[in-house]
Amino acid sequence: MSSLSTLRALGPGPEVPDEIKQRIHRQLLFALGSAPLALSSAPPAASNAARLPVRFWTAKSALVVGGMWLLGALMGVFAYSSLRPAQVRVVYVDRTAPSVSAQSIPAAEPSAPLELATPAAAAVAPIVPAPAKAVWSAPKTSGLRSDLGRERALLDIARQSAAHGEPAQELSQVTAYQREFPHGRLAEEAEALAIRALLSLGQKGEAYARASAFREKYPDSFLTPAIEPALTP
Amino acid sequence: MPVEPDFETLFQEEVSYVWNVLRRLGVSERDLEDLTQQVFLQVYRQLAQYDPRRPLRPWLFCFALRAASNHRRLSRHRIELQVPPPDVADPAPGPDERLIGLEDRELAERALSQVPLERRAVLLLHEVDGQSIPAIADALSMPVNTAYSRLRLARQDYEKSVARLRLQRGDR
Repeated sequence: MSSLSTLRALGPGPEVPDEIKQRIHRQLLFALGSAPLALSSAPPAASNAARLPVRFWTAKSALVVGGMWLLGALMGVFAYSSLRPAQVRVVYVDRTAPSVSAQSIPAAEPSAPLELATPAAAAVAPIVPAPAKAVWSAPKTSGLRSDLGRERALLDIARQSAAHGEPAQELSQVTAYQREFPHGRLAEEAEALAIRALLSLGQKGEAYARASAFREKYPDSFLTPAIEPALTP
Repeated sequence: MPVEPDFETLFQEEVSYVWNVLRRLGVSERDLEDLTQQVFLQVYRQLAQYDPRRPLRPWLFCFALRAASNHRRLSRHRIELQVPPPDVADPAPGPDERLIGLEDRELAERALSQVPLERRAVLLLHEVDGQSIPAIADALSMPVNTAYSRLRLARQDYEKSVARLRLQRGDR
């Protein structure tokens, strides 16, 4: 007999003893759990049908959890928007210094430029045009106040020249002031500066004459002690 | 028109077939009960998908093959040589046993156990169960040519194993 014939002759194999069959049957019933005891009456489709409520409850639970999550998110957004501090917006703008820039000093006579005799004076009085991109503009003031400001600025320049030991510069700046403001409100102060500049330049005669005139014009001036040296011959 | 089989009847008629297939597919003796029960559990759950126009045993064979493959993946269960247990078989010799001697039967079973599993499945279905190759290809979800090829290789493996075992036994 060939080997393959032997194989074919094996057949389906021996019968399983009834005892083992019964044991497997019991295990099968136990494994099926809630399935009916009579296996023949248990349609397999029933198991799928039994899963449907599980699917329904799973979907419902997911819906509830999702809804709660959405509600929590909305409450969080509301709480944040109501409790957060107000935002402060800081904006930086370029602006020129209003007190020293000549641009901010309105010219009483546009045709009469300032006379800057030395570079030092130019350094003291920088006449730099404001940048075109400057956002800030000088506040609008009355003509009286702006004239006084310019008078003050011109005399400040003269006073700084005196402090630097440049009486000629001081004198020329005072002269320029007196030319621009013949009846200026700071004429008394300007005249006192001119007398001191003349004394510093050694022009005692002219200083004495102008000091005498000053005393007559302003007999009660508190600047008289400043020009006193010019009054002594 | 084919009638859908009743599970209880199917179990009573085919439990021995499934048991023997599992054993021939390499499942150890101690695990046969558990795996037979697992196979019928799957059969019970899939019974609605069974097409009664197709042969039943190749369909059952697929469940057994899947269970045996999974069982085989665990190396602790792996037993290469299977010897049929004398106490499980019916003590009265069957018609097949009357045709072949016990030694030849044991030799055939041992040679069969040495054929690779995927080839052994085709060999069992064709040579032992008498299924046609197209039916086997359909049941195992493989091309017909693959089934033929596996059958050819399985026969070669089997015959080599038989020859080797006969040499070991001292036959001619």
